[in-house]
Amino acid sequence: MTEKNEDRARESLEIHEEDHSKLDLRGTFTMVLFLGALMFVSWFGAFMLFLGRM
Amino acid sequence: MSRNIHPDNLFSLNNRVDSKDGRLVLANMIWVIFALFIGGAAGLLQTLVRSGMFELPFGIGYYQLLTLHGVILALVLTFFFIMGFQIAALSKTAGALNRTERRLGWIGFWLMSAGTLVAAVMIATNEASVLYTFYAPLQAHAFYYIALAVIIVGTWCSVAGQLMRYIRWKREFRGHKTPLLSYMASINNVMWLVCTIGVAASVIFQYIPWSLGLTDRINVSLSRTLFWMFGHALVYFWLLPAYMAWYAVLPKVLGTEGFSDSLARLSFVLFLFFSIPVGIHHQLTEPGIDAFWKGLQVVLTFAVIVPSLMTAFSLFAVFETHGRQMGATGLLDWFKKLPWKDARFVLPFLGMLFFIPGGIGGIINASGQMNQLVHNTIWVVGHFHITVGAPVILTYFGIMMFLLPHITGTRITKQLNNMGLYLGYTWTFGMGLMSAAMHFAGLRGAPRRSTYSEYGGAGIADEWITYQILQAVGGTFLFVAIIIAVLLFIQLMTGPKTNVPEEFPVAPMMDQNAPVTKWLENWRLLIIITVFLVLIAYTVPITQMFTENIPGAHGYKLW
Repeated sequence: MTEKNEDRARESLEIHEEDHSKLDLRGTFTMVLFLGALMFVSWFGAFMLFLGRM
Repeated sequence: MSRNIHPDNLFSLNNRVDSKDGRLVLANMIWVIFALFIGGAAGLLQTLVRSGMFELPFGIGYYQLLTLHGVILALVLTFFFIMGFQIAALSKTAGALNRTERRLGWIGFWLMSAGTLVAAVMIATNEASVLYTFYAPLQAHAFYYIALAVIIVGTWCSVAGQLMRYIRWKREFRGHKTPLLSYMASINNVMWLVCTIGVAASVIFQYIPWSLGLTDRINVSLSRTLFWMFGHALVYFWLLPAYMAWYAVLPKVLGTEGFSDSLARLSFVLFLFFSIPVGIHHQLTEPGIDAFWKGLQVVLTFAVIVPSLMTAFSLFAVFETHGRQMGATGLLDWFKKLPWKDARFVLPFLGMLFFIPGGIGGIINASGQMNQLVHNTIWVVGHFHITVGAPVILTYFGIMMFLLPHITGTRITKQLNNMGLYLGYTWTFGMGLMSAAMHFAGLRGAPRRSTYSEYGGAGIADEWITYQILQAVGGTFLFVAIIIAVLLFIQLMTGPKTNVPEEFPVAPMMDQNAPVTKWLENWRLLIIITVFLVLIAYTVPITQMFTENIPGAHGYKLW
C-alpha cells in the first residue's frame, strides 16, 4: 500500500452526512413528474389502441 | 484472511475483494464472456433468418437456435454473472469468504458448469428445442431437464455460501446495519431461494418423470404456473444486481454519496415482497385460472412500481446533488456535469434510459385488457430486450469494467475506457433499433417464437417485413458491440499489472450514520411476509389445478 493510497483510504473513511431537507432537488422533482406523465401518456395510448381494436 | 470488516471501516480503500475469492469471481466471469459471444451469435443468426434473407446451414433449426439463445443468455450468462458479482460484493463489503463459504461457491460453479454443458449437448443434438421457457407439452430429452435442475442446484450452493458469509458478519456486529451491498445481495439470494422452489419441484416431479416415460401425461397449467412463479422473479434476480450498482457503486464513481441507505434497503425489501407472487400476469390469456387471482396478481405486479420509482428518484437526486456540487445552478443543467467520458458511468446510465420505456411497456403487458393486444406478439420480445438486454446487461458491462481489473490487478487505460464507451453506444443503437422494430411489429400482430414465414402471402405479414429487416440491422450492430465487449473484457483481465489496481467503488450514503431500521434487518419477518404473500397469491389457483380434473397432456416433439 503506497502512502498516497493510504491517504485516499483515510479520506474515504470520512463520511459527510448531508441533511436531505437542505438539498436542492428541483430538477429531481421535475424529472420524476416527467416520468410519471410519460408513463400515463404511454399507458393511455396503448389503452386507446386496445379500445380501437375491441 | 476471512475476518469480518469492522463497521467503522466499511468504506476504506484498503477493503478489496480477497484474492482467493477473486479467482472464484473470475471463473464465473469467464463463463459470462463465453456465453455472451455464443448467445449473441445465435441472436444475430435469428434476426437474419427472420429478415427472410438468410437460411441456416448444416440443418440447424431455427427453434434450436432460439433455445440456445435464450438458455445461454437468460440463464447461463446471468446466473454466472450474478454469482460472481455478489461474491465480489460480499468479499469487498463484509470481508473475505472462509473456506466453507468459498467451497460452496466452487461447488456451485462446477454444478452450474456441468449443467450448462449437458444442456448445451442436448440443444446441439436437437433433443431440446423447447426454448428456455420449456413449456409443456413440448417435450425435451430428460437430460435437458436434469441439466436445468443441476444448474439451479448449483446456484443454491453458491447462494448458501454467500448467505453464510453475510450471517457471519451480522452475528459479530449484532445491532449494526449490515453493509449495504451485502444486504442487497442477501435480499436477492433469499428471493432466489423462495422463487426457485416451485420450478425445481415442477422439474423434479413433473418434467423429469414425464420425459423419462415414468408418467404418461403432464399437468400443463400447473407446470406453467410453477414456471412463472420463478420466471417473473427471475427478472428481478437479473435486475437487483444492477440496482446494487446503481445505488451503491455509481455515486462513488461520481465522487459523491448515495442518496439514502434506508430508502435503498426499503426498495430492495419491496422487491423481495412483490417479485414472486406476480407470475400469473404472464398467464393472463390462459384458461384454468380464475379472473380474481389473475386480477390480484396484476395488482401485486403494479406494486413493484413503488420501489422502481423510489430508485428513479434516488438516482436523479444523486445526479442532481453531484451536479450542484460541481457548480450547476439551473433546473436541469446538472446533467451536463455528469462524467460523460467515464465508461463505468456511461454504460449503466445508457441502461437506465432503456429502463424508462421498458418499465412503461411492462405496465402495458401486465394490464389485463392490454395484454390481449400484445400477448405472444414480438412486442413482448422487444420488451424483454429493453429490460434484461439493456439496463441489466449494460450495467453488468459497467460492473465488469472495474471488477475485472480490480481482481486481476490491472487498470482501466484511456484506450480501454474508450472501448467501453464505443461498446455502450453501439449496443444502445443496436438494441434501440432492434427492440423498437419489435415493439412496432408486435403492435401490428407479428408473432413471437416463430421463424420467417410469408404466411401464405397474407397482406398483414407484408407489413412486418420492414420491421424484421430493421431487427436484423439492429442485431448486426449488437453483434459488433459483443465483439468489442469480448475484446475489452479480455484486455481488462490480461493487461499489465500495477501496484494500485482499479478500485471497486462503493459509496457511503448521505444518511450512513442514521440508526438501523430494525424491521429492515429482521430477516425472519421479511421471509415470513414474502412466503405469506406467495401463499396468498398461489394457494387457491394451484389447488384448483389439482382439484378441477384438468386433463394432462402427452409429450410432443414438433421439431
